[in-house]
Amino acid sequence: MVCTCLTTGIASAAEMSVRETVQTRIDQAMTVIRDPAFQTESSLPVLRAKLVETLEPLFTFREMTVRALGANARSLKPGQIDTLTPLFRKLLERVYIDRLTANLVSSENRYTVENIEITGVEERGNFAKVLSKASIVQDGDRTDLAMNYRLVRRDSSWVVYDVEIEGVSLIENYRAQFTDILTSKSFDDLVHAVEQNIFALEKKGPDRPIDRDKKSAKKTRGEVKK
Amino acid sequence: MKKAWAGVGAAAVACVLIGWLTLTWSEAESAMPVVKHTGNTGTAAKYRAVAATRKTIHKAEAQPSTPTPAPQLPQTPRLQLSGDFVCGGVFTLPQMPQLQVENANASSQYQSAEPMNNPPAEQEPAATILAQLPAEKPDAADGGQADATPNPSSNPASPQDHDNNTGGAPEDDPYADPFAGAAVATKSIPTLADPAEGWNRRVFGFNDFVYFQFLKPVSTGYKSVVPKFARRAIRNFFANLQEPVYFLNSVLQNKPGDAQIAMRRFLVNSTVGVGGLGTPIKDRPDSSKRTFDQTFAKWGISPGAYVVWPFVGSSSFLRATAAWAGDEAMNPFNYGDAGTAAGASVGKTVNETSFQLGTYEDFKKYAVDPYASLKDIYEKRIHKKEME
Repeated sequence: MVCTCLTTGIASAAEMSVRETVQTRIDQAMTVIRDPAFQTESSLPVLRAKLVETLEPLFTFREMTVRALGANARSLKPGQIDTLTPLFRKLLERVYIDRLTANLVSSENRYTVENIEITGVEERGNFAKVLSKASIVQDGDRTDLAMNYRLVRRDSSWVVYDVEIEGVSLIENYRAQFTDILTSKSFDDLVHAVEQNIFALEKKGPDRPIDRDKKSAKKTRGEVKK
Repeated sequence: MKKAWAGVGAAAVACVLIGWLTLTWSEAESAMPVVKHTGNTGTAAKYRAVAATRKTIHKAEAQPSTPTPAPQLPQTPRLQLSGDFVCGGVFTLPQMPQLQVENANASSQYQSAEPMNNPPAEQEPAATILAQLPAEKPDAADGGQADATPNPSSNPASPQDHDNNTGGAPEDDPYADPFAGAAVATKSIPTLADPAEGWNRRVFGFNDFVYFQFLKPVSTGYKSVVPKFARRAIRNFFANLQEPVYFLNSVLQNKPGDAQIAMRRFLVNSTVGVGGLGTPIKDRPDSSKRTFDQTFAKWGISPGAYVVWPFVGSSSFLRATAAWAGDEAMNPFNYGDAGTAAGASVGKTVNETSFQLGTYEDFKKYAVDPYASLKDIYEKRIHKKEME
């Protein structure tokens, strides 16, 4: 633990390259994932917490929230963005960390991430994209999962503002969703929708059709009001 | 059934006849110079509006006092697709777009040119830094970069700036994203028109219902009784029947190299691979899978409006719908009796879904609005295909 802290401290040095920045965190995350203590479903909550702790410094969640809001951010008060940021952060953590721990997550689409290898870096001024591939094993077949990180330099440090999983930019995709919601509904509705999503992820039952999800959500809202 | 096999045979013979022509054609084209777009470097007068947002977003983060050189963003990002993301034929989820930065002119008909000019509605001055962006010039003292960075606010926005998706966003713009795909971060999202959104959402819900109530249970049962090697062989068989489609569209798009790949795969996999059940020739670039929709796009036909069809999924009206009809016209099973055609279609869907179980569920559970999420993926997919 002490070693990890020391490593982290050293790694935060301003002169770290973008590749080193990502590599360091990924290596630490893979060490946690491979830990024999975290190989059962019951250990998943602790494993998630460990991974959040390890990977958190790599991400800039407020900026990710603003980017996901896109043009809509301009018509919002800073306080509203402050409200959405922790919720969106929670959602992003689940999206990303569930991919890394897909062998333990309750899903039919289970696979084990064996390794993550950085395959390239594209730097453009204060922006960079780190290309990586996760080597995964699913049903005995080995394949690669593309995970690319978009970073921006802030205060001499590189931070991730977007992640592409299998070519899909999380922030761009959420921007499409947020925009769709904000076009016809209020900001509070958006916050509520994100809350519902997180709630559904935390209390994950069997996958169901959309209409049943809606009924479940209504029921949940009723319970919360009581 | 005989008619179906006759269709396959006819396609094979056609491939052989055209094949040797393609070889010559391919060699001839390979000697031709390749002209590449240089992309649009002019960016972003639209970004001027948001430059000062950094004050708010990174209030606590002190900016370096040394001016930072402007980012070198000479080329426009280009999308590339890879990997099928198919949840059975009933819900043909679009391929997940594989973003790779390449040089291309990303201007497209479905990149909405939405400037950030929506005025704030009800904010107090002190609380509306984010909304005060339009006329404000980046502050050198705040960002430390304004002097060194070409400031787009010095140039009035032009329609071209809004229409072109460029990677040249200034780095003092908090929304700047030189790696953005079809979307420019400062605008809402590039969208296909969705005039029938209400209908589309209902159909999306219907397809979702059919998946969970019928397709998934059947595919799950099928997967449990049919061994993997057999399912893979069936998958190969149906994939092989697509090769004539790829071949024809490669020809129509003047892509002899891709036509060669399709023809070679079809001939070898149909013979050595025993009717396509095996794949002696395995790997191929995704970009070589040329479709009718892509062909229509190359001919300058715009996609039209977004539409979700029952049992088919995301499409556009009229272009992708017509392309789908083209695919079906080249499906040899459709030249047999109706029962055979339906059986083949269902069989293909169930078999494919047996490999994708859980994928659709995973997609959906992380989406705040699955409909909008899928539409975004579809838009990027067709944009990517247009660029290939």
